[in-house]
Order: sequence, then structure tokens, then C-alpha cells
Amino acid sequence: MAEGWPKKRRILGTKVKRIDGPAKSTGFAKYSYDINRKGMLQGAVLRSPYPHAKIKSLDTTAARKTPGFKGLVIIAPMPLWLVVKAEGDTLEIKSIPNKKKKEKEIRRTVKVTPTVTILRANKIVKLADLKVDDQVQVEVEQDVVGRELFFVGDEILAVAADTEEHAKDVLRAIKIEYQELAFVVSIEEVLKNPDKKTTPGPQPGNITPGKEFFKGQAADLEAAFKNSDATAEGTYGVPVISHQCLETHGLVAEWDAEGGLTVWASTQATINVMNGLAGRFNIPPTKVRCITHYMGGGFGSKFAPYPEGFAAADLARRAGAAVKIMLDREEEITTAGNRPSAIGSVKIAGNKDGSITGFSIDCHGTPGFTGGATVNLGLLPYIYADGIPTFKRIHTVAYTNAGGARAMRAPGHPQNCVLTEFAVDDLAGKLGIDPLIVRRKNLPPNNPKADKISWAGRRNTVYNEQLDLATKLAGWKEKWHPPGKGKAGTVKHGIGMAIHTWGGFAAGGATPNECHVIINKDGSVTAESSTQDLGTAQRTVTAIVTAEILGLQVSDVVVKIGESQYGYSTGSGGSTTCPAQAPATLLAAQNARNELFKKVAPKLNADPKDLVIEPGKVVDTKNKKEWAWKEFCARLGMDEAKGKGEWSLAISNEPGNENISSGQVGGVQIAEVLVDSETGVVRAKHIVAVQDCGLVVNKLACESQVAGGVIMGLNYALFEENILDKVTGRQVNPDMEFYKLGGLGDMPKITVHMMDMPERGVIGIGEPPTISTAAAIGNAVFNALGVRVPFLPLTPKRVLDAIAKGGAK
Amino acid sequence: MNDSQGEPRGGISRRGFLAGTGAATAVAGVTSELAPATAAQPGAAPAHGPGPVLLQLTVNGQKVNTNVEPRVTLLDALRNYLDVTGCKRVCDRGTCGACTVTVNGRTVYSCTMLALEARGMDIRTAENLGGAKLDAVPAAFVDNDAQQCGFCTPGFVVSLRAALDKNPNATPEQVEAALAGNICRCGTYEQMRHAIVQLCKKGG
Amino acid sequence: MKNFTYHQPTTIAATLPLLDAEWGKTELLAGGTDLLDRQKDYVSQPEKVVSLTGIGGGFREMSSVSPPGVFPPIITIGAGVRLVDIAESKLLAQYPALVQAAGQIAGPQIRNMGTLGGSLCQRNRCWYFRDEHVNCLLKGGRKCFAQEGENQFHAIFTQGHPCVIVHPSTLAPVLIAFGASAEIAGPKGTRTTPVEKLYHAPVKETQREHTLAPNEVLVSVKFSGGGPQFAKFCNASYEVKQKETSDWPLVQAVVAFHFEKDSKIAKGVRVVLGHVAPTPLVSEAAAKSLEGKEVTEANAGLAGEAAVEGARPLSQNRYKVQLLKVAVKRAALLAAGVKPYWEG
Repeated sequence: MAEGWPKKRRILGTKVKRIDGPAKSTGFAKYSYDINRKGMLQGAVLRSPYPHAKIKSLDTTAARKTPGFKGLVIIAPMPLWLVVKAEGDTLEIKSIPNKKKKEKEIRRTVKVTPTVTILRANKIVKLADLKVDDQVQVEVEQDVVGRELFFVGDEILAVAADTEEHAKDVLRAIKIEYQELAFVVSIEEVLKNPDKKTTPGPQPGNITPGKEFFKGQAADLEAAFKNSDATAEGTYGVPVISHQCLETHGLVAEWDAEGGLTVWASTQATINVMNGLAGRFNIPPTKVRCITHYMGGGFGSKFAPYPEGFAAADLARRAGAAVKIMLDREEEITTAGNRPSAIGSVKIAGNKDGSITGFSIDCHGTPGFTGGATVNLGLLPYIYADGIPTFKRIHTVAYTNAGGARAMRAPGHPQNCVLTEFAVDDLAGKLGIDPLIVRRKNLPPNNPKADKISWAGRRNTVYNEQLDLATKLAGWKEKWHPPGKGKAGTVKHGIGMAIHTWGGFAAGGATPNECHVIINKDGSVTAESSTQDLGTAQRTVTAIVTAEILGLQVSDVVVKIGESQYGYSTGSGGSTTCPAQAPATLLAAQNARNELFKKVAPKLNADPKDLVIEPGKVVDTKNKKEWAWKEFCARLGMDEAKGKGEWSLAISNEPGNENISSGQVGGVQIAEVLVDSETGVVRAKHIVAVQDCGLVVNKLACESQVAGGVIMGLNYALFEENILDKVTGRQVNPDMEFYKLGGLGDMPKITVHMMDMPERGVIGIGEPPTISTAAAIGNAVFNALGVRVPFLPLTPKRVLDAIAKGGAK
Repeated sequence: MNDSQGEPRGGISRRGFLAGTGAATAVAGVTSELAPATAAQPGAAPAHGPGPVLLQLTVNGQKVNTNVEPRVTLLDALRNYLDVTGCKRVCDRGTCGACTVTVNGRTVYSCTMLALEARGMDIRTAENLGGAKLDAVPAAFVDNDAQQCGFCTPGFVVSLRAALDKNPNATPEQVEAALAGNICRCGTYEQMRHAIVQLCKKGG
Repeated sequence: MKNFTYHQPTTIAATLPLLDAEWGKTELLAGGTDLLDRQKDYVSQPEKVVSLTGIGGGFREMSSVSPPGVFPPIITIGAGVRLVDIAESKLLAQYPALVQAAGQIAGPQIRNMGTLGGSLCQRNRCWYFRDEHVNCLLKGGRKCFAQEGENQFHAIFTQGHPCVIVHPSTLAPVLIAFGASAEIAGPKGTRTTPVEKLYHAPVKETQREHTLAPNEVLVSVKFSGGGPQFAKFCNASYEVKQKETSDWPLVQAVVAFHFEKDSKIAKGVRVVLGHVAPTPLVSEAAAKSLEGKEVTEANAGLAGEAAVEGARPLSQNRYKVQLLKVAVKRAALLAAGVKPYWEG
């Protein structure tokens, strides 16, 4: 059992400005995109212009003669081979079969031409340099002929040149021919013709049919639909959207003379990138250093080196120079991940008292050509699965010839929330009651067997408390009116709500997150971790926790993060970073303090047991003596005091640790909108977000995270959509012009209320606040118009179409 | 802040010279820069490029030189050739505002201006508002946590500073309108509004 | 972007010899906000770029002249005048339609860079046209991909138009409503033409959205706003935009008319529509509907109904018909100074 958080919080939970704020806001902070190494080359990627095609021919002769050309690599894993024979212009090689996988040995004979590249120990070698049994990688450029490409943007090869301008010239000088193949980019078309196979993967067609999941019996559900006071039916949908990280994916790679690789990567996972590159280039992870001091947004899409990262590192090893590849905006949107769509036909039944009696949903969505797992709709009916007596759900994954999905901020949850919460309000409309009543009635119950401070033990209570707070802050009682029955006029007022849940536990996995705190003899303190700051103010979290424990000011702590050599950390996903890193830092600081006491106490004739830290000083409680921090640390002499802290989900689950970090939170959001019924333009006026998040580390950054989640949710609701053309298979809006994102003037007033529950320990907050916003806005529009606008985003077109159908007046 | 990259922030780029195709080109560039209009053709303009042309810019009050092809945008000249990092490349199509700099006091999208078009003009980037003394605008962003990943922030800061320079008595609504050409993905607008209120109270 | 040679002449006279007789190899650069996008997307690959930013004098200035007996004064705006200077001009106080339209273009950065000439001569924003890999009609291809494809932002007046782009300029409809004329310099000297005549619907690679010859330069635009002496010139531009910030309009309507002394009857009505057709579209029907009538909500609404006569929307943009009706109605009411019923 760990010592835990201090009872009296001095800095924790207060509003602390982020320590890197001045550097970031004035452009001095160097992001991976900003790294310019001496002699650095610029890379660019050749991609499929077609949604589905086979490469017919490739000729790089002209490209290799283009001014500035410095290198070309085929983007594909390069297995190791053993040299069998190397004579004249012929190389004979054999594979190294993995016996566990029962692989068979393959032999290959390669005629070595200028477009064949042989690498040994990550260096280009000549055929004449090779000996039998040398381990080599062999790239035969013409091998790409025949390769099948599955989406617009599918990576083929990468080039390097002395300037970015020249890299583009080189790309355009490549002569490549394609055989166009049949493709599908529309989910409707996949459903119509499910056996048509245009995507890779094990599924026989383009579809993985869902399995029906039942709670209760089919007969119960039938009875619920038949016997309840009202039923509502609707088909609701959320489109494929893009992460739109402002700093695009990519990295700068540089090899040193000793065969070590340093990358400056825009990543959410320095350790994953390190391991990924080490594996790809057959070097130990300790030989790879991944640096991510600043990072311009990931939202779930940046957990690996990805093809562009591998290509940059590969070009760099061959060219003997640093290489930068950062995607451009179009590449970012079309190839670096997306959030899958979800379209669900829902039937819901309920009674006048607000109880939901039955729910069924038949749902489908597309992740693009791959990435079905992240559709993740197994939670339906969202939040209410425990409260509703009987329901049925089925979810079908439809693959299309578009870039693959990656996790995106609370994967699956915003979609779940829309598909469920729209139905809840439609039911309330049919029942003629306030949807607040339906929500209260069907909340998941408190589990009487669970620990009282745990989510399961108190969730019903927390949600009700949040509903009280949110409705009060939003003026629900005064402002809510039956759907479509607000004040007369062209511009309709509406108010709507939605609720959400999320985990936010410390990161799982076998290896715990590490943090190291070092106290130096001059009193200076350094905290080190490989974890990365995506914009969540993680760097500041580390400083706050260290300062809190050591009685220092936040500015006294030197924080070194975002470098893979500072020990193990997990990728920043699932809102797991703060709940893993804050406790790791807590323990590291406490251990460093203990070490300091142990080393210094004898020199001061004190007993370490009697020493405590107070702001700026160390106090001997027994002998009533005290020393200023620096004075005390000076007694370290030539020594230093170090502490290591480790934390993980497993450690947090150990008895007695539930106050240090835990998880599972709830939140309630209420949106107020004005809808111009003549133009269909929706403007959000006010959004209230009430959020539970355990122990608040930094109130300022925490509120900012929640408001940011709300804003991202607003963008989902009103603006965002990947629009793919059915004829060309190309996305028509891979930009920021027609892929719309709101600006400051599009934003409502946002009221954030954090429920500080220090007894629950630290819980992650990155994802939950973005989950329910879109559903709340959609419900507010329903409240304004009295008709459901079923598909997001709520564009003027969709709003006017719904009005025309439903006749709002 | 102490985990800086240790990269020198030079005025003159090493890469700028690497990028050139040698002294001859650079000299040709200089010649074309200085060629006077002939009497027969008042206002006539000699051709620059397509090879690299000597580019002299005044960035944050400092005169800097590099060689760029005519197609190089101001953004790319600053970032790739002069190591300036206060302007970011995000959309690269004049929409998002992350590349915002001021040219002769007016905000522009540096991604949508040729570097050659900025010759002789006063170019100011976000760095101009930091360093030894933090300007009130970035300070207000820090005070109110109006930044998360921070990639859009320098652009916002430049736009906001320019708005207040143009009208020190601007109302919060007027300042908001001046930020219509900038986009934030993390969603720091609510905190930005707090920063704007703080700045408007101070009168710029 | 393909590389090019760059010229920056300092006079119009020196500019003209640098231009070609055909489109494609030479492009004029003003604010750059359109051209550079096209070059980066390889939709335009000029070998020569001729910058107009070195040209001074009248090209960069606005002036107001009132010759004896002429009312209202004649306003001249150089093609090189920046959008921000139009949006903030005191000279244009009587022309709110122009000021509003200029002030609503994108964000401040674009308005600081973009010019009047650039707004009038820019190319369309069709996402098929702007995609290098789509060989549409305007790039020498055989078909317009928007006809059957993603056309939610395309034209609703499509009859007779093989290419269904919308013209992106929001200043052109205003200037057309004002009866403005354009001064154009070319190899044979200077010519003057109504702004309305600057536009046609392009159908092939060798055409632009405007009617200028490849070797001509738009120098300035002139208008006087019309109406007899002592009449009140009423004008407004109304755009429906999905976003408040930096967005293209879905539709735009410009309504201009005058009230004779103390009268509330609209005379000399002009209605010009933007973002609904391959050109700015003069709506005679809407103008006729409002002519000689009081500008009430009902009459303005009728003008809106008249404006959409003949609209043939595409598969995904029927909603723009409704938007256009509303835009015309609201523009008419704004022009007449009626309190907006759609606010607060």
C-alpha cells in the first residue's frame, strides 16, 4: 500500500498555468515538424490515386535523374535473408524461416541492377562485399509491380531530395501505370452487394456480419414493443470523420555512426515508436531514441511509426543523412486514420413514467479498408444497458476502399451516444414527457455489493447529482419546452441533453509506467519520464506532483519528458496517461524524498522518520529544527537522491490504492441551440458540461480539456464529414476548406463544472467530455424543431430536409 | 522549459545554401535583383528563377538571406530555409491560420504568399512576442490556458496581437471577429475568450 | 508546385508584354490566395508568374469623384485594392452591400491579401476541378463529375450548363447590381465593359470563368450606384453560411434599388445572385417582382419566390433553392432598412 496523495493539497487541484505555455504560444517550442537537422533531406510519398488498383509498371529512371534526388525506397517490410551466393551480377538468397510458425525456407535469385538495393546492418552494400551467410535485406524495385492498392493514398514508395520542392518534382517524375479495379466507397453499396470483395482481410466479401446480442428473450422484446405506452423508431447516423491533427503525422529520422537511430516523431507513444522502428530495422530498442518534446495533436491516431515514419528512417539509413517526412493535409485526412461511421435503425419503447421497456438496434458502419475493431458498438444501448430490461443489438462492419480507421477520442462512444440518446429523446417526445424524466428513470443502478467510492457503487447517485447540477446551470426547468413548442418565430430555440461514461483508469499492460525524480545537491529537482504531452499539459502534471511532494514551486521542477530513454511509459490513449503518470510521479517524488532523508539525516543527527517536508523547507518534528530546502539538499555533498515511481492498472487495483488512481466516470451535457428554420443553420448558444474526474490535478488544464472535448463534439455535430465521391472513389474534401471545423465565432458559451472527488484518486479526462456533446446538440435541435434531424453533421441541407419532411412551424 | 532541441536558431540557414545549385545561381539571382528598369520599358521586370534566387527578408527586425526558387512560399522560406518555427504548416491552403505572420503590420497566411513577394517588407512572427519579454497576448493565453497541443496557438497569438495593434480599444466581439481566420482543433476557444476578456480589460 | 519564372513589373504597360495570348503557361498573381492553392494542387502549372503587386498608382487606390451635375459620385476602385480596404472604407459608406460582402470574405488574413481584381477573376472552388486527379470538363476532360456526384455546393441554375460550378466571387454580384463597369488593359489599349459582361459559363479547358483575354489585365472598376438626384440608394448583400467564421456562402443575394424622395416604393430594382450558377446571376424576375412595390416581408418573399424560377437543382442541392428564396427576401429587407425578423 502506497503512501498516497497528501491529505492537505497545496498545489494539486489548483489552477496552475502550463509550464511550457510561453514557449508554445510564441513559437519557440520545437515540434517534430519544426526539426531541421544539418544536411537534412526532405521525403515525400508516392500514393495510389485510385481507390483500388494494381500496379502495372514502374519506371523511376527519370525520377532518379531529377535535380535534388537523394533516394528512393519501396514502402514494405523488408525481411532478413541469408546470402547463399553472390557472384557477378547475381545474388542468391534464402529466407530465415520462423520454425514456430512452421514457415518454409524460400530461396530467391536476384539479378542486381541499379534498382536493386542490398542492405547489411542497415547500410547499403555492394554485391561484391557480400559473404555467404551474411544477413541482408534486399529491395527489388520491380517487386512492386502487381501490388494491389486498396484506397486512395495507399503508400507505394517514398523518395528523398535536398529540398521539399525537389522531393515533389522527383515524385512527379516517376512513371507508374495502374490497372484500375472495381471498388466501393459507399456503405449503402456494400450492404446492397455484400459478397463483392474489393478490400483485403479475411472476410469473404466486404462485410463482417454482426452477431445478434440479446438481453432477455425475443418474446420479452416483442411484448415490450406491443404493450408499452409508446414506441419510437428512427434511423440515426454519424459519418466517417477525420482526426485532423494540426501537426500532421510524420517524423525526422537520423542515424548515427554507431548504427543508432534517433527520431523526432509526432507521436502519442514514444516507446511504441522506439519498439516499432527497432523491430523494423533489426536493432535493439536501446539503439533507438524517440523524441517527442512537443506534439501537435493525435486524438488516437498516432501510436506507431506508420508507413511514412518507416520510410523516413529507411531513406535516412540509405542516404546517410537525416530525412524528414511530414504528411501534407490531404495525406493526413485520407491516410492517417479516421473515426468509423455508425448508422443504426432503432426501435425503442417506454411508459409514461419514463421507464424504457425495450430497445433494439440494427447498426452498421465502415472503418474504411481496415480497422473494424474500432467501430466498437458493443455498448449499445449506451449507458442504459443495465437499466433497460430487454434489448437487442446487431452491428455489421462494412469495409470500403478508403483509408483505414484508427482509434479516435473515446472510440465508439460518441457514435453509441448519438444512436442511443437520439432514440431516448424521440421516445420522450412520443410519450409527451420531459426527456430528463426518462434519463433519471433508466440510469444504471448503484451496485450495492461494490465499494461505495467506486463507480459501480455510486454511479446512479453521481449521475443524478450531475443531472441536478447540469439542469440548474443550464436553466433546464425554465428553458425546456415540448419539442417544437418554443416561442414562435423564424429562429427556433431548443435545449437538449445527453450523458456519457468512460474508463480513464491507469494504463494496463504488464510493464508499469515509470517516472524518475532526482534531487541534486543544489536543491534543483528533475523529473523524467518518456511519456508525452499531447496538449494535455502532462508536462505540467509531472511538475505539479513533484513540487507538491517536495514542498517546491512548480517552476522549481525541471521536467524532462517525451524521450524514450527515460524509462517505460505507455502510449497516451484511453485517457490513461495522467492516472498512470501522476501516481508514478507521486511515488518517484516520495521515494526521492525518502532517499534524501536517508542520506542527509545522519549528517544532521536526525532520524529520517522525524523529517517532514513543508513548503520550502525540511522540518525535524522531534527536535524542532528546520532547514531551508537548498540548505538541506546541500548536505548531500557530492551525492544525489533519486526516486523511481511505477504505476499501472494492476498496481492501482491493489488493496488500499483505490484513492491514488481509479476509473470510470460519468458526465452530463446540456446544449442550447438556435435553429434558423428558414435556412437550416444551427448555432449553439450555450453548452453545460458537468464532469466527474476523481482527484483534479490541475483545475485550469482540466477545465480546458473538458471545454475542448465539448468543442470537438460540437464540430462532430455541426460540421465534420469525410465526403467520398462514388464515381472516382476520392475524398472531395481532404482539406480544411470543405472539411469544416468551427472557428471562435462558431462557439457557444461553455460552462464547465468539475466534480472534484479526491477520494477516487486520479482519473483520466481526455476522452469523456467529447462523447455526449453531439448527441446533446442533436437533441436540442429536435427540441427546437419538433422533428428529428437524424444524421450528423446537422448541415442546413439536412435540417431543411428534416423540416420539409416533418413540417416544423 | 529545459528540454529544448539544442538546435541553433540561426538567421542564415545552412540548408538555404545547400539548396542552391551553386555560386553561379546565387550571383545570377543577385544580378536580377539589382537590374534597373530600362528607359525604354519603364516598370519592366526581369525574370527571377526558375533557379534559386537570393532572398533577403526582414524577419522580426533582423535582415536574413537565403536562396529559394520562386515557387517557395513565405511559410516554407521561413520554416525550411530560415529555421523560424513560430509559423506552422497545417492546411497549407490559406484556411487554418497556423501560418499567420504579419507583413507590414497586416496579418497574412504565409503559406499563401510567395517568399519573393515579401522582399523589403517587415515580417513578424510569433517569436517576436516572446523570448526575453513575454508579450501581453501570449501571456493571456498562458494565464487562461488557451492552448492545448499548441500547434495553432502562435497563429492565433499573431492574429490577436495584430487586432489589438490595429485597435487598442477593440471590444471582445471585435477581437473575436479578427480571429475568424484561425482554427483550433483541440478546442481552446472558451479559454481564448477568457484571454480576450483579460486583454480587452487591459486595453491591449 | 511546379517551378516558374517570376516577374514583378511596376506598371500595367510593362505587364502586358509579359502575358501570353493563350491560357495556361502564364498566370497573373495578385493576392495569391487563389493562384497558389491551384499551383500547390498542380491544377495550374504556369511556367511564368507575373506579379501585379509591384504596380502602384490608381491600380491600388480608391477614389470618389463628383463631376458637376453627376449624382451620386463616381467611385473608382483599383483592381489591386485589398479586400480589407474595401471592407473598412469610409468612402463606401453608401454601399453597404459592397462593404458587407468584402467584410464577409473568409477571415482577416485573406482580406489582407486578396484584392478586388482577385475576387473578380478568381477561379471556381469546385472540388472536382481542384483535384488534379479528376479530369473534368474544365481541365480538358469529357464530363462534369459534379453533375452526378457530390454537388451539394454546386449550381442550382443548371440548364444549359455542362459544367455546374458556382462562381465564387461575392463582390461580382454586388458590382453587377450597382451597374459597375470594368476597365481592362490589353495589347490594343484599354477597353471598358460592364462587370456583368465579365462573366460567362466556362465549358472547356481553354476558357476561364471570366471573359478577359489571357493577355489582358483588369485595371479598375467604376460605379455610381444609380438613381436620380436626391433618391436614396438602398442596397444589401445577404449570404447564408453554414459557419460564422471563414466559410464560403451557400448562396448570396444582392438587392439594390432606390427610394425616391420620402417614398418607400422600390424603384430601379436590381437583384443579383451568387453561388447558385456558373456566373453571377442577374435575376430579372426577382427585380420585376419587387419593382414599384413597398419592401414588406410579403413582397420581399415574393421576390425570393421569383428568384428561384427556373432553378434546376442537382441531386444533392435542392436545399439551396430554399436558401436562395430566403436570401433574396432578407437582402431586400436589409436594403430597405427593415428590422431583421430573423435576429433575436
